[in-house]
Amino acid sequence: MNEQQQTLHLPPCLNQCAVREMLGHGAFSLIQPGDAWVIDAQAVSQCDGSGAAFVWTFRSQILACGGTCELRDVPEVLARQLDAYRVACERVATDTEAHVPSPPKEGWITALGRSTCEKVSDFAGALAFLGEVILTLSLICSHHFRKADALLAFVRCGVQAVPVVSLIGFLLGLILAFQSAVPLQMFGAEGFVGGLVGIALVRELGLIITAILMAGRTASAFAAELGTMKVNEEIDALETMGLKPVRFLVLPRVVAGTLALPLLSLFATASGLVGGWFVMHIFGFSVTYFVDQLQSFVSFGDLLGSECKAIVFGFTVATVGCRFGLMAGRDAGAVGSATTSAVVTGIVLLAVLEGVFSVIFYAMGW
Amino acid sequence: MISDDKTTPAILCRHVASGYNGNVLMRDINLRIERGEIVFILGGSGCGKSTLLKHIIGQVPPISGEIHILGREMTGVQSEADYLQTLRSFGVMYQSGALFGNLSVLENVLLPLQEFSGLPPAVCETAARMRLAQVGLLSRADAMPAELSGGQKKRAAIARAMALDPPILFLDEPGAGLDPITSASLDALIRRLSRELGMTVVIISHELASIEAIADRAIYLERRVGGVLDQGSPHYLKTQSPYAEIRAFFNRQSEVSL
Repeated sequence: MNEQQQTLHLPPCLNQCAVREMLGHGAFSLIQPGDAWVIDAQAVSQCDGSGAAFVWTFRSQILACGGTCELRDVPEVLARQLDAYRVACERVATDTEAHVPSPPKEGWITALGRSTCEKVSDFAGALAFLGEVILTLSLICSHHFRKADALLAFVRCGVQAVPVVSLIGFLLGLILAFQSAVPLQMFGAEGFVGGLVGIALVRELGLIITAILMAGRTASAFAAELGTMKVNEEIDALETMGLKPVRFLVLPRVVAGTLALPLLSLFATASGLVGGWFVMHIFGFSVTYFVDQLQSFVSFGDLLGSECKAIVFGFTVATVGCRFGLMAGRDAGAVGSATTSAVVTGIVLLAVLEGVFSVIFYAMGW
Repeated sequence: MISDDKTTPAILCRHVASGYNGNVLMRDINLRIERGEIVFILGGSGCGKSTLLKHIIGQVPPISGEIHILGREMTGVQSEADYLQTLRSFGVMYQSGALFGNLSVLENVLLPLQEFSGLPPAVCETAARMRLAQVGLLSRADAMPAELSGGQKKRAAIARAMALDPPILFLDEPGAGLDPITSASLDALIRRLSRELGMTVVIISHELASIEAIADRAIYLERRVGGVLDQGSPHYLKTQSPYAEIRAFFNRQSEVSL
């Protein structure tokens, strides 16, 4: 074994700069296995946290290499920091409370089972929430209903969405008409574009595009608002005051969303028809012809069916947004996750409901 | 450059008008905090103590006036490198702790060391653990902030603020939410750090016990006069201040705490 005696003289001001300088001279690389070291701290008059950390780490590395280390003439300013840390380390090592055994790592079957149970319980929670919201709807006509909040939510999710919904609807109608007119022209059937655009927009597309926009715009906003309230303990405060978050926060938003979507869907459909007419106009057809086409292909029942769906979609999107907001965790990422989940779940549920309505309408012969 | 001259004050505010978006809270704040002092900034609720702190640490520019930290003007135009160097000359503990929720307690303290100290990982980690030992949180080093109590969060936040051994430490309401024993041990820690490392500590707090235990000086802000009403040692303010409201402030709080 190499029994070389080495000495490290610490500088008077043992701060971060001094430590960097010593490390720059390769202090750690001097440590060889089995060396006997003396750390001479006589000159030290000032020592900050980095200085003390350096001395501790240097000494630990010598000991780890099987060497010996003697700290010589340690001034109080350094000794106190090292002693305090040593005592704290010993306390942690002997403190049984600090060493809570980590739970055993679960196997994939356990993980699958736990995950399934969580999903089932989430689903049950969602159903209970839906039930609570539906029951609370009975309060709409009572003085418990917060009309001002509902109006504000309606302005935000409905009125303020009119420009974007109209623009998207117009472009949708325009694209749909144009893309169908070109191939239909090959068969001399471009005159039917009006009917095609009318049926597509009134029955499905006007509503679907609005509902997806609402999921992205409103469900996320509701989830973020309520999620932030949860993080700020505002929802806890409501509950401790005896106010139910569903009545106080969810009901106005759900009512606003349920009323807004049918109206927005009308805007989108109307704008889409204008877009369709615009393409027809380019192809040389008059407004009268376009309206005539609409009247012969689109019935009032189509519009009514679409509006019925819109009410359900609006309710769903708003409820999903509120549900994820209320379920948000309490850390910084919670609001972001709640918002993402609200939008994704909202859109998935829209697709599922659309399928359900298609079957129902088919069975009813609509 | 940051001045190495020991006579340069740690913080100097000259004719600072404080406020947000043109709304003036205080129109003329003048204060000078020497190196190594422990200074408490006091004042009624809403008088702009936290706003003044935001001006000093460069988060919100003051409406007018000059603020110097270690001889360098915070309010003037300066290069990115100079600005970063000034930022590293102080540590801030926010009222809520403001720990990063996705990092463990140790990683929170380690972050500034890893980013700015230029020390090898082993030394950084020892330094971070030493800081946690100093605030009595070594046993919770691997815990996530969400698992900590309010008081523990504050201690972890102080450890993070001190990580780079800054010459100045700003603490916003450090004692709030802590039990008296923890609060007293925190006071002792602040006192010790200030004495041993020559750290200047600026504290915004109404904890009378802390003020009397560790303050070298307290500065009382009053919105009515638009700045500093009076300043001095806690004993002076309590017994000899010419302003009855300050004497009442100190004495009434004592009575309440009985």
